[in-house]
Amino acid sequence: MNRNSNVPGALSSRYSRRHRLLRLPIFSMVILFVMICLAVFAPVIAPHDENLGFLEDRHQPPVLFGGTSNHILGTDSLGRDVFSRVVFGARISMLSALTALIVGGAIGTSLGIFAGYKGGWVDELIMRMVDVKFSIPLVLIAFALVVIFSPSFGLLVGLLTMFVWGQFTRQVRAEVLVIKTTDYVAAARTWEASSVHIMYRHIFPGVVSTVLVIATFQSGAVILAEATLSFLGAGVPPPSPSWGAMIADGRLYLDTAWWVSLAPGVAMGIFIAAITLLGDWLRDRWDPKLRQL
Amino acid sequence: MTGALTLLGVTFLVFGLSRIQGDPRSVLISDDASIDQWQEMGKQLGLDQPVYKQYMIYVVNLVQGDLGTSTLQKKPVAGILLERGWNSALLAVTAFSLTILIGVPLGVLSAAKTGGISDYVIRMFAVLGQALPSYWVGLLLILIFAVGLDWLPAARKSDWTSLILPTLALGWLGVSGQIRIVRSSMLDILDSEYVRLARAKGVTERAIIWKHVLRNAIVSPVTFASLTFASMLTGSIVVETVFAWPGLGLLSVNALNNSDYTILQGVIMLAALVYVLFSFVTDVVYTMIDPRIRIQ
Amino acid sequence: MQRLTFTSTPATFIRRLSKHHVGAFVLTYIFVILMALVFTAGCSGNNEHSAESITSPEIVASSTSTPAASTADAGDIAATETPPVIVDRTFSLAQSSVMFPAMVPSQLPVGSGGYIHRWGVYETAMTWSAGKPELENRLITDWEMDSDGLGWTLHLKKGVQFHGGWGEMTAEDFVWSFEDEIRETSIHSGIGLARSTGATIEAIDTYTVSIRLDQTSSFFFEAFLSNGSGAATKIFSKARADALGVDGAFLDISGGSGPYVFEKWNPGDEVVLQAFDGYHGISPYVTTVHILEIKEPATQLAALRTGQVDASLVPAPLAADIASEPHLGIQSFGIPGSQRLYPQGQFCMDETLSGTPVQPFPRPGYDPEKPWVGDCESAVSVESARKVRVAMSMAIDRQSIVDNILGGFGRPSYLPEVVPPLLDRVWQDRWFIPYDIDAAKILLDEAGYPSGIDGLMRITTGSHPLEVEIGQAVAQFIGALGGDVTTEVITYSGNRPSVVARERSDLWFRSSGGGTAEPPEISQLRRNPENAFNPGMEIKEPLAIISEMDSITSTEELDEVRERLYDSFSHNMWIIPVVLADQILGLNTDKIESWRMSSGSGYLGDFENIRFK
Repeated sequence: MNRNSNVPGALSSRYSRRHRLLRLPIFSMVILFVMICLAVFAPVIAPHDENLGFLEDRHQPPVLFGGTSNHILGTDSLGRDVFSRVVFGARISMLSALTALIVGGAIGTSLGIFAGYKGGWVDELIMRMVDVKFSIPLVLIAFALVVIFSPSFGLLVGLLTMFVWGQFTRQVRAEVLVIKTTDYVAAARTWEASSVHIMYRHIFPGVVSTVLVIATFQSGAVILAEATLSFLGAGVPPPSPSWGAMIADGRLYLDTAWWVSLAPGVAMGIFIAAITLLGDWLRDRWDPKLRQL
Repeated sequence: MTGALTLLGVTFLVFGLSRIQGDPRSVLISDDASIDQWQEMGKQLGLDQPVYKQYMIYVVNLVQGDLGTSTLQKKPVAGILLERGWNSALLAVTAFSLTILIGVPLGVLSAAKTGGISDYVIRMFAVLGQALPSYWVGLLLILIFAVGLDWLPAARKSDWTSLILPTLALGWLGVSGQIRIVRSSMLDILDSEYVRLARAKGVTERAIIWKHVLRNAIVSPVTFASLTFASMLTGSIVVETVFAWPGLGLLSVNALNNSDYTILQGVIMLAALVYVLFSFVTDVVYTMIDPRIRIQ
Repeated sequence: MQRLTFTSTPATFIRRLSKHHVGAFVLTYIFVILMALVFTAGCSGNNEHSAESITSPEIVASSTSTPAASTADAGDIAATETPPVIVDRTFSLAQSSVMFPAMVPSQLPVGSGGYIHRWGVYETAMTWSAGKPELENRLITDWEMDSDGLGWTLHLKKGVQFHGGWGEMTAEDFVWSFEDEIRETSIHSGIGLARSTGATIEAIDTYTVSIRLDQTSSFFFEAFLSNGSGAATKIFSKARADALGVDGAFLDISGGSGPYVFEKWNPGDEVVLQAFDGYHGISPYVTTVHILEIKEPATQLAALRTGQVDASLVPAPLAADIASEPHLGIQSFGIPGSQRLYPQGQFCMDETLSGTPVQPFPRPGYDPEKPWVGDCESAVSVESARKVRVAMSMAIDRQSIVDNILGGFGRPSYLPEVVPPLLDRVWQDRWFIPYDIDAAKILLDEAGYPSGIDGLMRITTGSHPLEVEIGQAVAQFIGALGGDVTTEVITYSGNRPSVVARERSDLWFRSSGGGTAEPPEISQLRRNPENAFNPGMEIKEPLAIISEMDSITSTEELDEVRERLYDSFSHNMWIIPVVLADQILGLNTDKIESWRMSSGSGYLGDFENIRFK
């Protein structure tokens, strides 16, 4: 625990390097706030129907590159407004990531608490499941599933959930092993019969910060994974826009109609960068032990 | 032992997957074939046996080292994997070297110059590497360095120049991860009391960084590196597809498109094996770096 | 547990605001924008081209879509040219997939069945001439039809040597190849046709073969004896099969007789062909051919543009850009790929034409609730469903798809089949479908769907780089009638089992890469409802007309039946044709002077007809 030197004024008057890092990443937060607002208020913000275009308007360039102000970021191959699709894409990308994180986080955390608290064969079984999860190339599994099932939002979320849960289980279990030995849990064990109660009441609060830090980091990875799945045809089914699907759709025209995939690419790059920096900060603040994230 | 259990778990998954993965007849049999022929072919491929029997046969063969025969190519899967695995390994090794040769020094530099311009540039590079899909990066690299500048070949495996672009596309993510981990691990140690003590004793900053801090901070990066390597060996499906690199990733994409069960099973089993192996190696490396850690 | 305590209040949060993260962000931004600029700078040349390309495609397209006219004179040059002595000429081609060797006739899967003879390694009795819609002799010197019209006698060419030293081709090899491909467990593409016509083969003497059918067939000769389709009978050495056994022969790449020999076949990676020095015809001009697998279309184009490959397919919207590059050119080849919409679920036959009960009946996919299906028992409902299909068809602006997505490289399609060049005389605008959304709405109104139709459209992938784009455009057009049309994308092979099982009743958008000599829809419908593939319709009327074709031998009669068939399709819209997309090849024109390809095939091939500058 001696590494947790982020308690203010713990050691020296000369401010540590770490301290400098602990400044709030305000710019990241502003970016995230703006992008989340875009996603939430997409129907208000988007100037056009995101799924309906006119073929005649195909591949109009952005306004700064000779396009019209009607389509500020240009149009895609079906004549749909790229800006509107980026805005709605934010919605779908974030929603799929968020759902996957909530579901995967809940499953992963529960398993982690359970494994750590119960120990024995339960622990062994769960940890082997985690090993299996980490040892198989998930992209391949995703691709396999998509060959037989047609892609849907549900399948995408399912795949992303498969992608995230293990990380939660692993870290949370490690935390629980420490928390379990603390006095108050030991005390609770002596006078309380229900282990469910202990896990929920005493252990869960102890891992909340860890879970949040992992979730923040994973959200970037999940959005990236969504893009990879889209490349393999396992993303959201058309015509719904997601950033990953738009990047994948536009890749054939990278050279001629570069804006089709560059716009969502930049949006995704900025969003993930922002959330990663926020995650860095959260981790340094709450849980510096999570180095390997 | 735990490794064996993990692998057993993987066999369940792999087998289950292969059974829902699609019907090889879809690729093999012609549109003109009659429904009778369709069923006939199912018998030929052993699709009419009970599923548990198919599983038993699969596991028994696997234990004997028999990965089966490719449904379509009619060649032993092990041989195909070996041939393709070599190409993947080549790419993985170069991308991995990039992770070590660029990721670690940049991470150290970033940590040593916290708050400086170089720190921001390096961090930005790292954050971006984790924020852009690798196929997109790959296509951009092709457009810039092959089509635009005409410096490097666009795709496929030829001489060493053909390795550069796929290595960059595959390696950037790993390098980014490595930078971030080295940096944050180092910062941790840099704040510790014994570094302050060393400073107080007048040890030079350079010696502190490279001798004391990096040594102590290396455990997380080692874990990360070894698992990155394991996943690069088998997981570069996207990059291999973009660069038409004839490795395991491309092999599995083809196997999937052609519903070739056995090859897919083989690739996933190999991936799991590599992972288990590397986990073990990592543990051993730990004890070498830090004798306080014992293999459990 | 210090980790759990929040040591900062919002006030301290704010006090710790820093400019540093702003710095990181600004840099990130600058980097991304720089990248964007590098791009646009790199591509600015292309943008200029694309501006002028709006006018050029028609010129290019019209000159290339009639290969017969543009290349007819090149044939004479080729014929008079003396074969080169020892010059090494290498040609390379990118393909999205090179399959795997499966060198036994009965084991040739659908896909690779076409490659091996189109690549010039294995040969068929006759071949389509390059650039002319005519058949010419290859492995035979002559043929005649039997007097009863139920068979043919083929006179084989003498002195045809097999690759790999398997000796001279005789009637035995011919008979073995044909018998193997139609044997009980065969998966050969032509198996259905061979069975339904009761084909048998027999060697008369060393160089004469007789093929007999038990019923006349207007398709058999072309399907089996020419190189036009995957069903073509490729002649393999029997001695090789005897020596190696089935399993050994499967992986053995010798035993063909064509101008090229397989030098190497790495499945999923590359195939290398070498000129065969013992070839019975004119030795090929290009001595080495590398066929390289590059899956990603964007990478294929990059390889073409950098000169890494000499040729690759080009997606239509990019064709004009490729053509405008200094050292590149384009040409169309083969039969255009057909893009069409199947309104599935029209399973109205409880017995086949010959009276065998259909099992199971009703089909699992039969759904009278679907507007485009209707209740097979009710004439009123059937008529409403017809109106719905016609309305859907009229809502599609085919010309706009051709102009905007295909960049002019294609044409609207009004018939449910690809009409090969041979049939151009019956092709056309007689079955024109207007783009008329008002008329479509009136029809829908009459059919009882005044507010448009809702539906799911499945788009299957794996055949054409633009299938998803065109499929979505079609969905967008049908959605413009007022209903809600959702789309689903799935691989063709993933979709196929449910098609075989007759389970589907939604809309299915399907494309094919390129046609074959035998019209695909006709061949697929012929043995319906017994065959494995089904476009979602089992209806007596078209099948009855198609079955008439079987017993016709004269071209005039065949045309007459065809016209009736097309009238029937046009009126009922059982299958909704969308567009025909040209297959476009990008070529390195610095190196390649010409590449004449025979018509009647969707596969790239005929490497022996390539000439360098």
